[in-house]
Amino acid sequence: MINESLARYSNYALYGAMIVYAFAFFGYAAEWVFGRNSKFVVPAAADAVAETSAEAPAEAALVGAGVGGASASGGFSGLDDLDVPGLDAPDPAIHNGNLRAATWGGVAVSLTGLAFLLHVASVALRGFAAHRVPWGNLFEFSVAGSCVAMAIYLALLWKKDARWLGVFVTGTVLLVLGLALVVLYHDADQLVPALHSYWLVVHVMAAVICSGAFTVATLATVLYLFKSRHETKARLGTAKPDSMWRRVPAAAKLDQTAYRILAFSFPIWTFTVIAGSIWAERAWGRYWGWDPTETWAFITWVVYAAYLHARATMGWKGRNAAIIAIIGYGAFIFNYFFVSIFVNGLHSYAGVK
Amino acid sequence: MTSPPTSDETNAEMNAASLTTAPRDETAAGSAVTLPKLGTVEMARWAWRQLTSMRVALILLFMLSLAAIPGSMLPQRSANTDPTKVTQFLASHKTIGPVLDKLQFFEVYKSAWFSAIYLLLFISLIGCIVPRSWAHAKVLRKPPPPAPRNLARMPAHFAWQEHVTASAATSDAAEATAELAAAKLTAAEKALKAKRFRVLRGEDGAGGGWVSAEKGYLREVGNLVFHISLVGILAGFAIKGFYGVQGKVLITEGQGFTNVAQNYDDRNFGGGVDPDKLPPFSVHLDKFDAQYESNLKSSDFGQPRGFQADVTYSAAGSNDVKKKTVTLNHPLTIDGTNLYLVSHGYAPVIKVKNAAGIAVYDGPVQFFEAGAMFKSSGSLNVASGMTKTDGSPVQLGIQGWFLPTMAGMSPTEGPVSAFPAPGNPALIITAFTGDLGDTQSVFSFDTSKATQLDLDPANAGNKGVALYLGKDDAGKDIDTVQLPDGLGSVTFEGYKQYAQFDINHDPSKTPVFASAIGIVGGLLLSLGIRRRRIFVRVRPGGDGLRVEVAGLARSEDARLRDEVKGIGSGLRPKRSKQAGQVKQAEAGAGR
Repeated sequence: MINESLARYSNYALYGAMIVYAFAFFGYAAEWVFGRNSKFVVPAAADAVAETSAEAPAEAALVGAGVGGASASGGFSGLDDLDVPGLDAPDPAIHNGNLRAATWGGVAVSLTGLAFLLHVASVALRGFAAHRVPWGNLFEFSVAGSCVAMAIYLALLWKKDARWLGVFVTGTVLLVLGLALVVLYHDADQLVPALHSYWLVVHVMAAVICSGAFTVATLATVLYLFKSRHETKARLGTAKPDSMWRRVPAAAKLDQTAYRILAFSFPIWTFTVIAGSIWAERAWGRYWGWDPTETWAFITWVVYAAYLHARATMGWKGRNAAIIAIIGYGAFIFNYFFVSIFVNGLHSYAGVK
Repeated sequence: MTSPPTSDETNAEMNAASLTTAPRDETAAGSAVTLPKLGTVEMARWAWRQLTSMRVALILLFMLSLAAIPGSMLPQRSANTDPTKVTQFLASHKTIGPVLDKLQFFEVYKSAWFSAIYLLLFISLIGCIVPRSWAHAKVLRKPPPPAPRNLARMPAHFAWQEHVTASAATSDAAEATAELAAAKLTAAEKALKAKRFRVLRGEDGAGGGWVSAEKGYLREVGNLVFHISLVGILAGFAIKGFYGVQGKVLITEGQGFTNVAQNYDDRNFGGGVDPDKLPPFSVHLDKFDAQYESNLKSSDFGQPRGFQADVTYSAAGSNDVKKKTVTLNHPLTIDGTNLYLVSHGYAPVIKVKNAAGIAVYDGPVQFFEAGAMFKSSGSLNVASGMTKTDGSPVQLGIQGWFLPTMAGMSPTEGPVSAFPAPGNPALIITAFTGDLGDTQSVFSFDTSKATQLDLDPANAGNKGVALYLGKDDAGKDIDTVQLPDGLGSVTFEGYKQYAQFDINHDPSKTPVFASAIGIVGGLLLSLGIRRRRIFVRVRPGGDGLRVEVAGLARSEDARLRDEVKGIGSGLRPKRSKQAGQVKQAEAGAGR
């Protein structure tokens, strides 16, 4: 039933991915380190906005047609004034204009892409080896979840420069994969009967996506906390001139990145809980029974809901909201590791002995 | 052109913004924690305002998540895993146990404090939803509010100056300017309407005018649907509690069950359920089968791989008999009631004969999983029919292990099973006579005042005996043991399997499911749709026309600036190639 050789290749791909991630991690780290050695350059923000908008196609005909002889000319006055300072400013770069650092960073990005392909291959081979979705136990959940985290990072990187996340994401993914292999490892095997349901595909896949998204959002949130402290210091003039936080995008931007990932994953998490309760209704005869895993999924949901509300409440936005988001991730991780392994409930599928 | 909305309506809408996820400055309600001078009515009003404020809602959310934690850490009476763990916990924690019990820590989710938190939260929620729904319903019927006076204060703002020179067609410069202004506003109106904005146009006087546009009303609709659906879930829980039927029943192969309250092994009916009016359907367990991982190399060796219960059933009052295989994720549904296969076990068939050789018990006895590889334990209480040699009645109790695949005896764990499926089934029993207590059940007795019989006289220090099916190699019966003193005999005749079903009738499923859809749909709208206002204002001044385009995000909105810029580019005349003609407006808003 189990294709042993495919399962073996899956593991080889995973080891390979880890090795390449490790090189990528050092590449990103080298970018940080070498970037320190060049003088900090304030990137030229000058008129960039006005220039780009001037290129936009304009309906010049309107003016001519509307008012016979009136001739008109004009330009944007470039009033780039947002209530959130820093959102429109061009990002500083980790490499800080240092060519060697920039090269290391570029190499790290390529390596990340290669490692990601191996990672995806590992997940897919697991699935083919066991003839089922590759998230049937905690080991597979961790591997698939970290794969999603990496996919989200690469998507951010593709849409805009998110290299500032690189060292943190590869580091975290390495940590998760290491833990998965050492503590949670489970051979490719058939599923326990309770998991014989297509809800395994839907419910657990949604949970896997959330695990990756929550992880990246949390990294951005933690960076936001550091950066916002740095910005406060910079305002007071007590920031170190060569502080690494100078090279991280503005706090408002980090906050917005985290928010957008969470605003994307909160409905998915809601769906995870709902799909889980539909499955519970099918399998256990009730849609909600305060099973420990259900309880912690609920707690995670409530805390993230509090985060979304806190962002709209005076006195809670900013750092406080960020801390709530981190607590939400804490609840998620607690559920994922502690509750599934140590608390005896109906969700005891961890496969850890 | 429709009339501008009243300021009253705008205020109502502004005040009702507390459910939103938009960044928002809270100036009025909730932020002031100073106590007002109190009359009863003012006090109540103040309390209500506090309760419905976002701040208190946030605190309640935190309290709810904190309050849910102990229920996942401490054993719970209502848990579907094992309620006896509460008794065990109380037995091993003599000091803290009773205190926790008094504080309802073993029934967290039914406790007064947990209920208080979520009820307050829902009152707060309803107190928020009602005025907001009302306000949004009004907003939906009105055009957007007029453009504010100072557009430069908007978060996204662009302005430019257009020079107007009078030509032959329009000799008057002021007239040309007015015409250009009107054309700009018309163009803005048209562009915004094309982007499906709701648009209002107005005059400033002195030839100036503005266009105010708003879009993304569905965000608030989604927001309200989401929160109303949460209330729907709570209502569902209430319906479930009042009209729900829950119970357990254990059916052995070859036996059946009729859905009458008395036949439940364990039941939990809501207050609105009449136990005498359950639909009397019937279910018969024909066969139960389980598969286990048999690959010795697998780390999952012996783990279950599949369960099937083949049942025959008929609906209440129907003679139409149907068959179905019930498995873990495929319950049996009859008359709106679901039967879920939740667990299973072995029931060795035991025959007890008395001194006269008459069978006083002959049937399956349900044993319960009590060790690795489905080692099971159980007991049988034969209360009548047994006699001593002098003819006086005596009670007989049998306790034992059932091993699906007997693998021998371990010095520490006693008999050991090697595999959960029947390979070499064995029944290891020990017997008691005397006062076995006054138990209700055939399957339990009290050994404290009983005398243990020696079933293995040949072997000192061992009073139990292992029974196997059939005969041994020498052709001797090994399935029967003669009880000492001519009391009779016990025979291990075979085994059956039983299946345990959860019976569940829950009328809240449909409303809860509908609410769940509302929750996800509402969330997608409220987090996915951007609500924003865009304003265009033209004002004659200088040697022509000053045009301003501004935007106001009413939710987190990373794309507003680009959108405003896009509108602006559309309205602005193409920049002339000659740099000399381009004059940037001073346009006083840069900070």
